[in-house]
Amino acid sequence: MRELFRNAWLGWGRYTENGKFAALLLAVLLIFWLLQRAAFGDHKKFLGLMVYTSFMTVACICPVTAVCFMLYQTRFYDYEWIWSLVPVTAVIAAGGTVFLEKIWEDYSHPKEKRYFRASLFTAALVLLIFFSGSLDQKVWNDGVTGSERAQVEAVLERLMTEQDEEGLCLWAPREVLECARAYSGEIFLLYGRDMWDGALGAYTYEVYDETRRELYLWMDHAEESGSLVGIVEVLTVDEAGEQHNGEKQLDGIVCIQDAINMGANRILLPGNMQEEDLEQIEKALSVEAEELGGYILLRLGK
Amino acid sequence: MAYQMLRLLCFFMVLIPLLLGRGALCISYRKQPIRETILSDSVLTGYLIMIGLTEAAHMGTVVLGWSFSDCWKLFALMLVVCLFAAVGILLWDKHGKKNSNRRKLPGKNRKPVTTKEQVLFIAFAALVLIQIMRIVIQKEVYLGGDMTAETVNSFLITDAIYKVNPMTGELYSLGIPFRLQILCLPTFYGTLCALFGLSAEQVVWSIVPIATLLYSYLAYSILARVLFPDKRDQRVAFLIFVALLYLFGDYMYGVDGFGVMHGGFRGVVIRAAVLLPYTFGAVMRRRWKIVILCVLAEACLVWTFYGMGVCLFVAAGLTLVNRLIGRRRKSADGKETTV
Repeated sequence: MRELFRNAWLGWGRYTENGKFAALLLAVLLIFWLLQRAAFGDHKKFLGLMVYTSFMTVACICPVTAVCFMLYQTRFYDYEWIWSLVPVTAVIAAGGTVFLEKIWEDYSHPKEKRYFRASLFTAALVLLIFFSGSLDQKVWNDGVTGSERAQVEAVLERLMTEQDEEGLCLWAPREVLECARAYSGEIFLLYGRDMWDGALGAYTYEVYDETRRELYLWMDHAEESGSLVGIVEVLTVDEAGEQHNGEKQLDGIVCIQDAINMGANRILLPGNMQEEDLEQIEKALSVEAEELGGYILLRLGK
Repeated sequence: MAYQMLRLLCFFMVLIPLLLGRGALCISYRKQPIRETILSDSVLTGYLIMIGLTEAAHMGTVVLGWSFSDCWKLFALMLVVCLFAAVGILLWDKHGKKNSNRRKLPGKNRKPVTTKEQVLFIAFAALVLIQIMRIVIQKEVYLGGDMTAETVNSFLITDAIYKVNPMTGELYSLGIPFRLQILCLPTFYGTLCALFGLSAEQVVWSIVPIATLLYSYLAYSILARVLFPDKRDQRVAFLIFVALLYLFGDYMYGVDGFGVMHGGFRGVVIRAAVLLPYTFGAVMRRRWKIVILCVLAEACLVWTFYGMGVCLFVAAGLTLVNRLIGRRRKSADGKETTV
């Protein structure tokens, strides 16, 4: 419950941090309530919608009511989704339309030739929406972009074509695993996107064992450093059952061996692996490493 | 492949819902002339019916343990039956029109389209086109907390529903919660893949978001009709503003524009962009059967609080506000009359 209150308390700040559509909404509501008749003319049609929107907006901003809404939407969804209860887009669009109508009514008298001024106001309105929005700053895209996906899919296609009866069980860096199962359901993975995307945990009761977690940590380390042995941060559980942050040294060859034992028959290593490390892997596992689309491919099994 | 995608979009996402919805509305609102039932209403109602049919087939499969191919075949069968029924209803309605005692609408009194309206409409069409191009070409899909494409692929490959973990392809040992198993969107998308021979990526990340975008504009066009009943230019201006808000408002998860541009396949986005505006429009027109349809559709698409989702909340809230305003207005009128 404390976490829920914290989310609700900080939610409004997060909601208004990047874009300012909430400010536009508040502006439209303010104009409506201050200049009802002058601005909205026959306001009867709008009254119900505006009363509802005003009430819900206040309720979504206020942390106590926001918590109630979050409980109503089953806690599963983030604070942002309680704003579904408020018709933000509809009310801003309605406000903009009414405003536009007023501008053109006041300034577009053909005899006075004041079209220029009306056009200027219209452009200003569009700019206002533009500056209240994204300004093309992607604050969200921490995943694989379209072009990266195309590159990864080319690699996956190559792997799929040489697939035998055994099927394809793949262990690879994060960006490859992120695309693999969406690209084809015939690719099996040792762990999926739910390893690093915590929100996906809500969809299943399944949990990964410690070995798979270590495989993920080692692959991440290898991508960053290109070295075979690395020290990674892990969660350790003591005898009393309490969790602590600790460090652990992971050896790449042991990890690769673990992956093979779990059934992986194709392993993609990051392209930046050092030559001597690759030679060590080839020698220890008796496999030949080859370059594939910027990754190092190890073919295992038949 | 592009032809297949276009065929799916035009045929399955527009024409079939149009027929289904037209038939359903013809039965539901018999006392109103058919011309009062606008095109947007028919397509959206048909879409909601299709979701209902998918849910029926999906639940049958989950409960009885059928295969996924049985599921989509059952869906296709139900759809064909419903389509025949819809066509029959429409023909019967057309045939019985002359003898009916329905309220007659005045003849074709449509105002000619002015230059201003033409300019506005072209601007709106251009904005929609830009958005469609962005969805198809850029493919900037937000996948945080979502595994729809993976789930659809696992249905198609295993020919079973929720038997393997979509993230790895391994058999489930503990499974997934029942509250999620009852949601039918992956089955709907899987059915589209199976029927049209397209990949999950094409259906989930391209076609469905385009359909959601178009459905969203249909829902907002209904709302525009309610808010600006007399002026067509204002209605198009309203839609232009919605398009601008979608285009520039893709800055963060949870905002309508973001959902439509980067995650139109998600249940929460369909709810926010299609179901909710449609619910607002339906409540303001007092079309309660459509409101019920929206509430039920939400329960099929999104995990809600025991079925009491946002659509129900919004419908109840707006109805309450409208009632209170109406009562206040009546008492104010009464006082004025007394004075």
